[in-house]
Amino acid sequence: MIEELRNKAKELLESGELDVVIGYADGSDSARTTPIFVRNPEDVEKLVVDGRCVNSLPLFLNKRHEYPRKGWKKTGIVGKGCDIRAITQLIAENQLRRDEVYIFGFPCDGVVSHPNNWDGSLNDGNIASKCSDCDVKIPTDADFYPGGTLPDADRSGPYQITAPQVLNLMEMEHSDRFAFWRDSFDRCFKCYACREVCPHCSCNICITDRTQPNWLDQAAHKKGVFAWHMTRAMHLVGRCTGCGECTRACPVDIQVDAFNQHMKDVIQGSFDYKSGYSEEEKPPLITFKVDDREDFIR
Amino acid sequence: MKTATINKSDIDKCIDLLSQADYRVIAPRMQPRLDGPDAIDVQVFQEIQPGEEHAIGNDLATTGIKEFLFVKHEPLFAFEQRGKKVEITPVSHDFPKTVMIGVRPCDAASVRSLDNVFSASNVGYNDELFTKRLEQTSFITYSCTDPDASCFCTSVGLAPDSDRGSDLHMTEIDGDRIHIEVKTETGEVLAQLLEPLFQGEGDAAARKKAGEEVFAKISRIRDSNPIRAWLDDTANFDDEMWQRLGEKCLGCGACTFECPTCHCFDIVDENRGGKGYRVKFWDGCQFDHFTLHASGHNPRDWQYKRYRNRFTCKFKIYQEKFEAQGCVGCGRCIRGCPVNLDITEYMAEVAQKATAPNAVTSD
Amino acid sequence: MSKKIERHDFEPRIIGFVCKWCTYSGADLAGTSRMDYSPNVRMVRLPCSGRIDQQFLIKAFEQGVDGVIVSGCHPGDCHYNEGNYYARRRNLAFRQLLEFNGIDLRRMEFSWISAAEAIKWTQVIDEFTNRVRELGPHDEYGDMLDPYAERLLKVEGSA
Repeated sequence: MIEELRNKAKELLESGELDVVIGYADGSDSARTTPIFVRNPEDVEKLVVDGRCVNSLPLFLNKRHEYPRKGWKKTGIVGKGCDIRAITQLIAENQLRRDEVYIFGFPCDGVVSHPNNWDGSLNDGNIASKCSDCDVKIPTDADFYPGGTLPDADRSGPYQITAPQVLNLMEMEHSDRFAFWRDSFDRCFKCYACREVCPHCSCNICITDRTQPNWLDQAAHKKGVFAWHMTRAMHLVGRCTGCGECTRACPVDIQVDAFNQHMKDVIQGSFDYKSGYSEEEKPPLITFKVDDREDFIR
Repeated sequence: MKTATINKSDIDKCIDLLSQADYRVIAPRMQPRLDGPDAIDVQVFQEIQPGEEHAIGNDLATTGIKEFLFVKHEPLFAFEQRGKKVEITPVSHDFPKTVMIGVRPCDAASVRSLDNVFSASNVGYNDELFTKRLEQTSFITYSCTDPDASCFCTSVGLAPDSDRGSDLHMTEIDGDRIHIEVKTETGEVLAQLLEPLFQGEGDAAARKKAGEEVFAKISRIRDSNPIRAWLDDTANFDDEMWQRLGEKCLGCGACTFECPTCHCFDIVDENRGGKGYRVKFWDGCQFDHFTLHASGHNPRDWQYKRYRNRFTCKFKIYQEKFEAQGCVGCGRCIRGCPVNLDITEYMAEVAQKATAPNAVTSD
Repeated sequence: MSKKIERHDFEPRIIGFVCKWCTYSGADLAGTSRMDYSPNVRMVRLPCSGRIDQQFLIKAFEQGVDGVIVSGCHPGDCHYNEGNYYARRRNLAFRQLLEFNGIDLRRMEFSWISAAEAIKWTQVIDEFTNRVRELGPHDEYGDMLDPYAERLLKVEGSA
């Protein structure tokens, strides 16, 4: 499978159809992979695809990380099912055009939950929880797929919340929940890694960086940390595709995507919308139905 | 130099004795593990009370000791505007007597780098918020036994059993014992406190053996000698390497905040109407607005330029300006980077370019 | 239509984000009709409930308010045709976010109040104020609002 992918990439680079292919290569040690920008057809041999490929590469396609894209006409990108959903969502939000990317899909068995847990292969003991209920193991869309055509799959099921503490949290009293978040966010020092790895965080100037007026305090006291995480969660409502990269990227290992998982569940329940499955369907917060639920409004 | 041996199982008692002597004790501790298959063990340095569980001797903690000397955020003063006048109210700063135990050699070595940045002797301004804290802090260091694939302290002139920056140095030796070395006068004071636990003289031979064993375990080795000269040559500022290796950098700041020697900060007035605080907090050179001028011009506008700055700062500017080590080889930037950007990859490329037949260096 | 407004030991601070075409006019009508209602609410007038960015609500809690009201035109009556439909969706999501975060939802109120519904405005405010008064000051968020309060030093001879 990887040979087929490499050959196709080489072919398209040589013909000039693609300026670059963004994929995965071996990383700093045997448990990690790293994103690679292949421009030279010979370098396709560095591309790998396996259970260590945790990165979500579509983040390089969004405006915030524009520099690598400067001057590219068409980009090839290797995507797992969840990454391709992120690409579809970017297209649905008009951040990207479909003809600007060439998607290399492949059947994904899942990725490792954390490089520390990698023991040479992917197994039940180290697979990420987001992969357990995944319905895009065969991706929704791809320009290249090993073996030729992209098989169909049933994707009508709902998103599942995979982090157990998200489920447990709703059982708690609200003051206990608040105390839980206060403790969890104790370690946060506002490095914004969660923002930078998100494929959907694409604002040229993030609201936290705005100083006139200063919406969110930049210092890492409780007020600043809470404000940031609430804002991030709110700005991703209806858009988050659940790749879990934010939690993986956090250098102090806080489960920051718990908010996002909960909101995905809410959006699905209230508006029957799952992000990343359709290029045409508009995200829920920019549309409305006249008979939307309003039982909470006096 | 005085030495002693204690049992490894007596570390808890060390913490008790230190705490009873009115020290604030800071040690690595495991954090409560989240539920679910994605949970991993997180270890951070935290204040510890007698009876609480420590994680001394485990892997390198995710966060280091930097945040206790150079705090993440603190107020400088409070202000309130009343009519045409601004009233300033001072805020309290406490500098408790502190001992840090279980500090790895890389973190201990970084303290000198931070001190040179914040103290009058070197840069001409004495930042009391740092220097007063440091004056009150003692370091009980702990040699490493199991470096992982990302550790590279030996490539920057350190060693996993180094005692640089240490007041009292502990090394695990055979028989579940710990060999203690008293390195400074402060260490003497600590040794006196811990004396009830001493089992006898230290075992220098076992200590040497342990040191050699761990030194051999470091697998990530790079030649850092040619780097400074290569960076000194301004012709290399525009080398193609910077763009090629730095393309994938996201500009997140995870590396700068985890790094034991990174010390950039920002001072901002946080206010509501006319009332607020002037706050000093961590900042990172990897953020896209770090060098944004008021005019709108940004000399480091693209990410690879920012990483170039980081590398240059660590391997050239620290030595020039601060006469200290810029990088201690702890490997946190490699482990913590979301895209696995590897500073040792830069080191290897530079070393290769610097030693190539027609290399351009400034000596 | 005068009723005695009782003052209590704890008077909650409530902020209301209202749309100018309907709710603000409704509140105005309550005023010109000399209706009495709890004086605890401070209003922020916006052109439309759809203009309300959830940032405002987060900041309101950060500032230490005890309760927040968001109010606009009835669905179908929005001056800008659709603003309140978007507001409805956003607020539905935001409420869930607040609840997940552990903020008591009884401290938030959403309502549709038209320019003619002055009586409804007074009822909503009175009931909400009583509810928040019973809940007490918003301490959980409140103690985050001034991160360094306990570090202030008294200066000799200061005002």
